[in-house]
Amino acid sequence: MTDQSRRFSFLGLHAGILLVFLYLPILVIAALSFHDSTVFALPWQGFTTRWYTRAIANPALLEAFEHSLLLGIVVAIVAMTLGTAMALAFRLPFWGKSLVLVLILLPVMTPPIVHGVALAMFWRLSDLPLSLYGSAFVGHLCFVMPFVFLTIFPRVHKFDHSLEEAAMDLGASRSTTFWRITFPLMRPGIIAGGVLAFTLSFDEFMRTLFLTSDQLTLPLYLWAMVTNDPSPQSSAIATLIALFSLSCLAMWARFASKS
Amino acid sequence: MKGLAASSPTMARLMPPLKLLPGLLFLVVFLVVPLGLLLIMSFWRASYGGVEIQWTLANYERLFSRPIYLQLMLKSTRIAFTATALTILVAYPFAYWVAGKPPRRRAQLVFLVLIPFWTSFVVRTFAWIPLLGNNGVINYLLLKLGLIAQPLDIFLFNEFTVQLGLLYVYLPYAILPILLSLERLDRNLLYVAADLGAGPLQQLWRITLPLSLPGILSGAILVFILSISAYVTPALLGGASGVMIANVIPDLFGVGMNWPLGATVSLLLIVVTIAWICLVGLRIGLYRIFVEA
Repeated sequence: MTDQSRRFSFLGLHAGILLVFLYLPILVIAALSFHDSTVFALPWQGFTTRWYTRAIANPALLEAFEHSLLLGIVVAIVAMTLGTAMALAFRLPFWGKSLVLVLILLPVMTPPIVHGVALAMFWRLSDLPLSLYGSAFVGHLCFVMPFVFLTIFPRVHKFDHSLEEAAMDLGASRSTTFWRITFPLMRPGIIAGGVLAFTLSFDEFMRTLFLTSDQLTLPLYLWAMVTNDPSPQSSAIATLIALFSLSCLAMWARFASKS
Repeated sequence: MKGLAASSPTMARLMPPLKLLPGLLFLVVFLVVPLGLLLIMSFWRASYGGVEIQWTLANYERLFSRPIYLQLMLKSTRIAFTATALTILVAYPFAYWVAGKPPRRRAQLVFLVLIPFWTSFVVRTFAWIPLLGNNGVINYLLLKLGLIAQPLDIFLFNEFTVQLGLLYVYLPYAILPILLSLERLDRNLLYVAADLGAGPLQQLWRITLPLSLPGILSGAILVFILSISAYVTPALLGGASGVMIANVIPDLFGVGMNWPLGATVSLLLIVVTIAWICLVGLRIGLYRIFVEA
């Protein structure tokens, strides 16, 4: 045994323990979603699928799911547009660039609860009613913007500008150059940014708690469930969410490997 | 910022591009202005069911005369600091191990780390209750093995559980940036160092660690900000002894209704956050930390 390989086996052990740590709670949740008991506790009382049938037949849950899905999609589309524009702008040198960068990164550096509270106060003092597609949408969009920008920006920053110059030299107009050269090169970054924006918005909790009205998102619905009446139904819902995300991800991976 | 803000020939090119306008305007109106409002509101007086525009320092006096907020802030800072240090210590060796794998394997491992990320944050935190509770999995196993006679209640509803929960949910926020900065590290440097007689520890201390510093720092900033303002984790896992500052803020804006005091407490949270970012981030610059990592 050389020194090198022994060091690596320690790292491997650490990695193994870490993965067990990451998956243990998930597995417990998945197992308890089949538990024939009204409480989250052992000993094991028997197997049932009733929590799944209840979850699927639960209209409030379905509504919350629809809200989260739609909000996530709208947030992702707007964030992709704004993020792409900002990333393109960042290719040029301009005055105050580092200040602008701080501003773009500000949502990441603001504690989520402070952002939620500040926006809610802003809304109330402006005499506007809180709503899912109004105030909560705005909160989500602010939150995902830096992540989308940071995903798209390296794409724009790195690629070969002579491609665009060549296209213009060959007589392509500015918009043709953009749609035929620049945009296709940016596309993987934009799509990755959109997926990230959707993921972040779909699971956002803290800002939404302060910014939505009586229209709940999935995380808020689960929060209400877990704090008021923690039955294994919430673990069935969580398992369904995981399956949903994984299938979306698999679809995306397939799409990404094709293009 | 060097290299980015390269010197430009004309004044026109120095103007911020118009493409920035929609995004920046949005961030100014819906983030900067509300934060400014919070600052202004902290100097207003609370009235029944809202605020009264009457300038006062009463909220700040109250912040210092009633020690509960400062105590909670101190405790939250301590918890967040421990959780951050713990997260980085756990994440680094893992990221180092992943970085040494071939690219395909690396992608699979990153995927493996991210999968738990795609289940609900709330439920992932709640999952520790059936694991650690009195009738939970751990106590059940310990009882079955005959190691204990009574269920232990030391696992749940205390500061330790909060730190464990924070470590659990924010681990990927540290693993990913550290991994990215390790991937960018030129391995030839390590070969050269080895040739020149540096041992593995010396290589780690003199080359790998310093060059992956941006990743470590961006992880430290993200995890700390999220931990110090944690609400769900202490609410679900902390019990009475694990309460953190964010858990008292909603009451000030809801049932208890003292918006100006709520604004003041929120500002206190921001001040600590900014102090941490300055402490950790400004030495090597936010650009290097966030854009490169």
